[in-house]
Amino acid sequence: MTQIFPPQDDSIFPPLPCYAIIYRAILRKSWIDQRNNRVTSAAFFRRPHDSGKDLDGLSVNIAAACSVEEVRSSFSECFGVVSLHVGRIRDIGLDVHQNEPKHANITGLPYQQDDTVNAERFAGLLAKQARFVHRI
Amino acid sequence: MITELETTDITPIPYGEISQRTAAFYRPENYAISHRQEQSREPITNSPYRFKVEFFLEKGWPIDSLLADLRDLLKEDKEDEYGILRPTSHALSVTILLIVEAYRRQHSEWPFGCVSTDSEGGIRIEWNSPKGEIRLVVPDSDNKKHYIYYEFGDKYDIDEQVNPGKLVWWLNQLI
Repeated sequence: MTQIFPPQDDSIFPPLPCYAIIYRAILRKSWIDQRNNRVTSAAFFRRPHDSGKDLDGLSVNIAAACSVEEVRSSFSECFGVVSLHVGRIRDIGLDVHQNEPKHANITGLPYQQDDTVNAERFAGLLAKQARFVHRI
Repeated sequence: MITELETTDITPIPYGEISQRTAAFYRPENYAISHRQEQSREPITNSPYRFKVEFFLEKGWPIDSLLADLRDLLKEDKEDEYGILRPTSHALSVTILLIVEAYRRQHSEWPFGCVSTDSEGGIRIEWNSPKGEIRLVVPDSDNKKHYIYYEFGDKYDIDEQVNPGKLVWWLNQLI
């Protein structure tokens, strides 16, 4: 018999498929390791609770619904855009939850001040997965 | 953290001359050690903006690039959309103290590092090699946790005993 599970959260959107691709905007020049053409782990930390930012996770855009240009233009300064695979993010124990037609959050990341080791670990793993699709 | 650093052996420094680029960091208002110099009343420089160390810096060397990247952070706007962009004086002075002293202890095979700030003005430096990864994290203020994150294969953790000797030891694991 097939079991039916209720949704894990109150999202009106269905879970993203593992083959989905998401974009993360690179908002700081210093998040780019120019020497090795890679993004650093600094791009994948949640800002502290009291900032009121990143409360639902790390902000990303859904590639199927949003162009790279749209991602760039939604920020006053954007030094690049990286892509990640939802399935590979799930492989490391995190998830991606869609909350708007074009937007989602990487969930499961701890705050640095709550669980420093795992915040660093996950930030590094995400950085290693990320690939530039746009760079200034 | 400052106290801990100040109790380590950071002998001030009767050796060759640091580059103008690095010397620019050692303005007394930014430099934690200046406090101690005042206490000891041992002048170590004849100019407030010059400083002497035992190693040479050449353009393009990893340490030179690192210090230049730290300097460049000071040229950034104070804030951006992500948060505080420019490092705090605490983060900058502690980072420079650690880096310069670590480099003074060992300046062969110093790896290239990647410098950034967090959303509160703390400084992060990442070093990578095929063997693993080290991250020095100096927060914006003294009451937050300073640490070195290390990752070698499946082993990863943080080392909260941050001092120049430890930094050199961890960097050596990358070589």
